[in-house]
Amino acid sequence: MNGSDSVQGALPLLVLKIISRRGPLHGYGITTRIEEISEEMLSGEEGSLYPALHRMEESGWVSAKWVITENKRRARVYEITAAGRKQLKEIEGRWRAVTAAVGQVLQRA
Amino acid sequence: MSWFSRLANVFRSDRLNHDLENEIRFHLDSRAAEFGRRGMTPAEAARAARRRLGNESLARETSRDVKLLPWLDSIVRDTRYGSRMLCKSPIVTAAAILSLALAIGACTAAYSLIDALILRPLPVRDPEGLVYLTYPSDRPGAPEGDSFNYPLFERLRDASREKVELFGVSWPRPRDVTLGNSTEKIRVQFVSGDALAILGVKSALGRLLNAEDDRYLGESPVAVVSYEFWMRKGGHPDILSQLLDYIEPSSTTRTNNTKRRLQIVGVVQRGFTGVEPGVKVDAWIPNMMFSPEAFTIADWEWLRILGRPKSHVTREQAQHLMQQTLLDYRHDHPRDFRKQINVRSAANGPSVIRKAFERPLWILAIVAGLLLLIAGSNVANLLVARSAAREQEMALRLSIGAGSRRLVQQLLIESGLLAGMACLLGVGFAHAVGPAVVSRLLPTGESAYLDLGLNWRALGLLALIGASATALVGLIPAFRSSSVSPGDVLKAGSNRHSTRRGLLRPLVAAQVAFSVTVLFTGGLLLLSFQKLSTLDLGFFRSGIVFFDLDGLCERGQPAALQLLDRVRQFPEVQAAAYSAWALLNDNQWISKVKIPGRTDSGQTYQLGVSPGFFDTMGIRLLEGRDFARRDLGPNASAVVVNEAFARSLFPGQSVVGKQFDRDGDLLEIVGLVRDAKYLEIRETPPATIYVPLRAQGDGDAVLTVRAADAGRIAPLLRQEILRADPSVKVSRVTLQTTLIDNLLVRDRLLAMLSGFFGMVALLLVAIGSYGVLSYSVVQRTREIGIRMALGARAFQVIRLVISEIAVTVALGVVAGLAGGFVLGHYVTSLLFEVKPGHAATVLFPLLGLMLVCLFAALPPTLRASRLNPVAALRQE
Repeated sequence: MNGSDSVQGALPLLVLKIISRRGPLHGYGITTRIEEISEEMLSGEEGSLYPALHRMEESGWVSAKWVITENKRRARVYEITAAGRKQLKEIEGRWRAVTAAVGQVLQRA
Repeated sequence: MSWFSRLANVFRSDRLNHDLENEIRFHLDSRAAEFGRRGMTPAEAARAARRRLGNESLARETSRDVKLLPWLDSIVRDTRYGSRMLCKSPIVTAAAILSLALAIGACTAAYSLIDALILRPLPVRDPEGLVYLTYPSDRPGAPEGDSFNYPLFERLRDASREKVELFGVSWPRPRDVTLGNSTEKIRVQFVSGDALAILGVKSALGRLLNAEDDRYLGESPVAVVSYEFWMRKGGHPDILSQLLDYIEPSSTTRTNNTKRRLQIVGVVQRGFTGVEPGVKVDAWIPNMMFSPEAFTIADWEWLRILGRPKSHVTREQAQHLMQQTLLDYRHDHPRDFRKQINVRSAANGPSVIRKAFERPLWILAIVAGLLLLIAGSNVANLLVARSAAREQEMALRLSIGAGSRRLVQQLLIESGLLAGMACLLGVGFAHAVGPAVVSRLLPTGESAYLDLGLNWRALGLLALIGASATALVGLIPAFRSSSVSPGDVLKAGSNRHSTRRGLLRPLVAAQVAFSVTVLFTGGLLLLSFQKLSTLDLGFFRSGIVFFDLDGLCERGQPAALQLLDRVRQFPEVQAAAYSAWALLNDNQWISKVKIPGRTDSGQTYQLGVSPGFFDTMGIRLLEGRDFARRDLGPNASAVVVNEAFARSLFPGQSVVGKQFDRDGDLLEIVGLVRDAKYLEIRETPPATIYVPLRAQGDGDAVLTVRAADAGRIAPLLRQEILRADPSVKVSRVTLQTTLIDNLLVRDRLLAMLSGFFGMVALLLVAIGSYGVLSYSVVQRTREIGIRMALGARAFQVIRLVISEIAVTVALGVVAGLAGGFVLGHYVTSLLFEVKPGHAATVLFPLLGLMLVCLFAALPPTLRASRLNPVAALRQE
C-alpha cells in the first residue's frame, strides 16, 4: 500500500541525495531520514535498503566503513564518492525530466 | 569493491555473514530502541522492528550475493559440505578412493610406458619420414626379422641411392671404454657414415660422422659421443682431442680380440641417445671400424637398415625397389633365405624392447582400462547406495528451493573430490610402478632407459581419465537424485527402494563381467608362466654357474685342462667343464651336414664342449660315450649328437658308429644325448651336434661349474681361477638361474601384473558386492521384518536377499567369460602351451569370484537373518 515499487526504483537516488547533503550516515540513519522528509509516505520494507546500499558500494558510488557511535555500538557508515556524485547528477537529471514529462502529459491529456 | 575482493569474500564468508548480520542487527536494535522510547515494551518493540524491516533473511542473502561471486561461493560450500559428507563414512570413502586410485594409477603407468616405448617419436628431424626394412621370418608365427648382412646392405644402399637414403646401424653393444684414466661401460653403436646426417641429428660440438669415415675398412678411427657422456666426462671442449680405447671382442673362436683407439671428433645434440627407445647409446662409430669378418662372412647378420625416402618417393615405390634388389642379390647369393623385404615406418624408432613388449603393453593397457571401469562402477554403486540414504535430505533441500541444478552440482562436486584425490594417489602410484616395471623389462645387468617423466600428454590423459572417472562416478546418482519428486520422498519415508535397485543390477553385472574377464586373461598368463618356469630344458635349471674366460685358448690345451682340474678339486664343486658358450645365451653356430652316399643334406646346430660337459649340465647320455682326452687331438673326429639329430638324419637306426660330413670334415658319432634347448626356450630342441672344444688360437670359452650352492661359491671360485692362472681373465659370471630368468622376463612381468590386477579386481568385486548387499538389506528392512513376523525363517530371508543378486552375478559371469575368450585370443601369441578353452582357466576365475562374493555377502546376510522383526517395523 505504500507503493514499494516506486520506492525500490528510487532508492539509489534517494540514498545518494541524502548522504550527499547530510554527510556519512549509517543504514538506519538513512531510513529515518527518508521517513522524516517524506512523512512516512515512503516507508516500505526497510530491509530492502541494505541490498541497495551494498550494490551501490560494489558499483563504487559509495564507500563504507565501520565506526563506533556515541552509544558505543558498531555501525557501518556510508559516504558518497566522487563517482557517486556524478551518478547522482545523472539520475537526478533523468528523474526530473521524467517527472516533468509525466506532469505535462497529465496536465494536457 | 572490485572483482578481486568479491573473490576474496568467497573464502571469508564467515566474516561476511558476521558483518551483514551485525549491520542489520544495529538497524533492528535502533528501531526497537525508538519504539521503546515511544512506549512499547521491549518484546513488542523488537517484534515491531522486525515487522518494519521485512524479510531479514532475504535482505541478507541478497546483500551476500552482491558482495561475493555466487557461483564460486556455491562451489566452495558444496566442496566443504561434500568433504564433510565423505568423511562421515570413512570406510566407504576410503574403499572408493583406493579402488579408483589403483585403477587410475595402473592406467597412467600403462600409458606412460606405451608412450615412452611405442608412441613417442624419435628426437630427430621429421621422424615421420623415417623407414626401416624388415623381412618375414622363415619360422611361421615368429616376428619379422630386421638384421641384415653387410653385402646385402651395400647392394640395397647402392641400388636405391636415387630414391631412398639408406643407412645401417648395428645393435647397441656394451663395451668397456677408457677415456684418459677412467673406464666406463657404455653402449656403442656402429653406424653408416651418413647415418646421423640422414637422421637430421645436429652436433653440439665438433662434427658428426660423414660418408668419408665409412669408406675404407678400419681406416677411420673416429667416434662421436652423446651429450650426456660428454657431460659426465667434464663437459670441456677439449674432449675433441681425446682418445677412446676399447676392446672389440673376437667374433669367432679363431680370431683375436682387437684393441681399438678412436678419436672423438664430435658430440651429438642434447637429447639424442640413439634410434632405439629404451636403450641409451653413448658413442657412435663408423661401420667400417667393426670386426673385419663382419664384411666377409656371408651370413653374419649385424645391421639394421633404416632410411629416408626422398620426397617424391612413396612407400610402395621404395618397397618395390627393395624387392627388386633383393631378387638380384639372391641370384648371386642363392643361400639367402629372405623372400621379401618390407618397408616399415620408423617414426618411433625400431626397438628390441618394443618388439618383445608391444603386445603385452597393449594388454596391460586394456586390463588397466577394465580395472578403471570396474572401479568406476564400484564407486558409482557406493555413491548410489549412499545417495539413496540421503534422499530425504535431498527432498528437503529441493522443497525449500534448491534448484535441481544445485543438487546435481553438489553431487558432481562430491564425486569430483573423490576422483581428484584418487587421481593424485594414482599418479603417485604410477610413478612408483612405472620405474619398477621398466627395471624388470630388460635383463638384469642392462639398464633400461625410458623417459617416463610426466609430460603434457600424460597430464592431458590424466585429466581426461579424472574427468571421465568423475562423470562415470557422479553422473548416474546425480541425475537420479534430481529427478526425485520431493513430496513422494518425504511421504514414503524409506519405502522408495525399487527404482534404485533397478540401477544397481546392471552396475553389479558389469563389475562382475569385467572382473571375470580380467581374471580369465590373468589366469591364462599365469598358467603360461608357470608352465615355462617348470619346463624341462634338457639340462639342469639351477645349481650351475658360468664363467666367461677371456684368453683361455691362448694358454693352450694343457694349461686349460690343468685349470679345469684345479676347479674340479675346489670344495663343493660337483662337476666342471668347458663349452664355447652357454646354451640359451643367444649364441649359435649352424652348419650343413651330409650323409655320404645320400643326396639330401640338412642343417644342424653345433656347440664345442670339453669332456664332462654333459655330466655337468645334466644332459643325459643315452648311448655310446662322452668325449675323452684323446678326442681333443687335432685329428680326432669324434662327435656326440642329440636325439633330434638322430631322428632327422638316421631315423629308426642306432647312430653310434655312423659317420657324416660336416662342411667337408668327416665326423664319427661316438655318443647320443637327450635333446636340450639351444637358442629358444619355447621351441623344441633342434638337431644338435657337440664337437670337442679345442683350446687353441685366440678364443674365449665358458667354464661351466655345477655346485649345490652355485651362487655362494661363485665369487670364491673366481678368486681361485685368478690364483690358478693369472693370465686368464674372468669377464663375466652368470648363474644359470639368472640366465633363464632373463629369458622369461616378459612372461614373468605379465604373470606378476596378472596376479596383481586379478587381486585388485577381486577386491573391487568384494567391495562392490558388500556394498550392494548391505544397501539392499537396509532398504528392505521393513519388508524383511514383516516376513519374519509372519513366520519366515532365517534361511528363507537369506535366500530372498541373495537370490536377487545371484542372477545378476550369474549374468555378469557369462558376459565376463565371453569377454575373456575374446581377450584370450589376442593374448594367444604370448601363451605357452595354454589354450583359452582349457578347463583350468575357466575354473580358476569362477572359483575365485564365487569365493569372494560369498565372503563379501556374509556380513549383510547374517545381519538380515538376525533382524528383530519388531525393531525393523518400528524403524519407520
